[in-house]
Amino acid sequence: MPKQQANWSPYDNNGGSCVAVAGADYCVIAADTRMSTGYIILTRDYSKICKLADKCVMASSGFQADVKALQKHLAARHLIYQHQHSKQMSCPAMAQLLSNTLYYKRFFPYYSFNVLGGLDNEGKGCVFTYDAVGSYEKVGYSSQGSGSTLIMPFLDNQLKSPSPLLLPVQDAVTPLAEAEAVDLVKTVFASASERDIYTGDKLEIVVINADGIRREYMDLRKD
Amino acid sequence: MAVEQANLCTPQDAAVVRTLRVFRDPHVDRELEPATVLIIITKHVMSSPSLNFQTQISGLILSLSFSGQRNMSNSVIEVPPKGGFSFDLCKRNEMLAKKGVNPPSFRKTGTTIVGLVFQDGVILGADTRATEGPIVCDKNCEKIHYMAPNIYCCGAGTAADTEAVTDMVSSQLQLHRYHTGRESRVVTALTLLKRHLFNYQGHVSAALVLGGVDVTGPHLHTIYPHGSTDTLPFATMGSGSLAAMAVFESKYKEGLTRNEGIELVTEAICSGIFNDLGSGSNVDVCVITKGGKEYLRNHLQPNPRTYTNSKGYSFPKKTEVLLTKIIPLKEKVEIIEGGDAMEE
Repeated sequence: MPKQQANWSPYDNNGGSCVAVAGADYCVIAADTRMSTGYIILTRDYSKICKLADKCVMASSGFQADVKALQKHLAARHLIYQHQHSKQMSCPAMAQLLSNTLYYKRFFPYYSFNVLGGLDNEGKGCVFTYDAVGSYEKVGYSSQGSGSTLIMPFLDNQLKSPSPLLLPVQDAVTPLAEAEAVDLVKTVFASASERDIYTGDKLEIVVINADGIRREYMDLRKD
Repeated sequence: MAVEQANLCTPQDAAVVRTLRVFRDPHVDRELEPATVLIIITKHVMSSPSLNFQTQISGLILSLSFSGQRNMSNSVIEVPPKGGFSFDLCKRNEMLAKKGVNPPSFRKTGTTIVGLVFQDGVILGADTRATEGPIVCDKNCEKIHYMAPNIYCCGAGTAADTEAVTDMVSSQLQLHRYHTGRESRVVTALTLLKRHLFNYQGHVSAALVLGGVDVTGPHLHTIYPHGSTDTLPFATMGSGSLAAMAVFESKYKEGLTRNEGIELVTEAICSGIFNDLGSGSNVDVCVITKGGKEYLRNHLQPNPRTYTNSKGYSFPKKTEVLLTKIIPLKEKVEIIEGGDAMEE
């Protein structure tokens, strides 16, 4: 009998894609609402976006059970912070907290691919992108999930700032207007759902700006 | 070649070596192939009456060494068995996989394919999505293949396999038609396909729904990659087969009319398209009756693109020029006037 190996995995991939784009005074975070396993659709109506603080929203794809556990953990830590400091956590502070939380489980990771979006203390848009164990970077835009390989090159083409070798150094944040950024995100998801089987059903878009948080929905391909 | 250096234990071994020397062409400086050596040695072994000789020959094989890159393994090499299947390449593939060299992935069609028998003939249906892992590589491929004017075949599994096997059997059927002077029968196509697939022991990954109308009436069959077949009034195959079969089991009845049949097939394929991630895009339908066939390509298109930006996007060149440096490759040659030498 050939050597047998363990074939139970504690992880599963529920698919989906998330995108975040930062602007001068707004931030757009979007994710599709399809949750699947293998070739089966579990539900067409699952939100991958979670509000962590007043000006801070996280979108996560990957294994949704781990994502849910991570969200609960962060919500609890945020509550403690509010009790201790009498204020909400800022987006950069939440970014650091998320990184530390993920690295804490370095040897049994949260199978969760996150993008964090929000407004920093000056009201400028900021996006942080993570890997599964907490390595993070402040960027102008990012995508994660099964469709990220299809989405990222397009965002790079449309939004990428010129080379950092050129002076004067330019900011990663896009000069696009809010409506244009939302338009871009819609196009990007419509294209991704054409070619990625795990992306589709409905698109949930969350926009954070000085007025607060706004949510909107768009239909995607259901096949 | 180091045959000469072999351990000559007995006079019989010397005889073998002499034979080998004879086989070496003196005019061509070329190494003898290991296989040739084996055949020569084996012939000697077969013709020798004594058992002792055989063991000594094994010793001879062990001590043979070949120059260059070829290395004899240390075990006794067997002559390949005559006839039957040879799974040597399977062992090689396993060995390679262990070393981390994986075979290239195949383009599978994911797929929902269905067929049903109605009062005047058969109706076949298929989706149009072809996938490579989690990516859709063709949004509108054709899965209903032509076999004969009165026979069509839907294919699920590896796209190359379904195309190749249906093309091949279609050609064979045409030759058969010329030979017999008669219309092809569905059972003929069935037998040709199942014999081919069984021969390849399931490695040709083609799951087919074969349907047609011939002199004996309407027929519908399913063929599995290993070569087994079923004859059914309604059938589904592919990753979306369960979703489609659920529809068929609820709504199928005997003696459906043409429009009812097309509607049921479309509903079953749509069930596969929307509930199975391996199937998608459009519905293809093919209706075959005694009178003829009707291929309804893209009969239904329930998945249009959801959002197109009215302004569109431009893709300006984004690679910035940081430095420009021109180095001429050749010095410019001066052309001297008055070169009339050629005219003389």
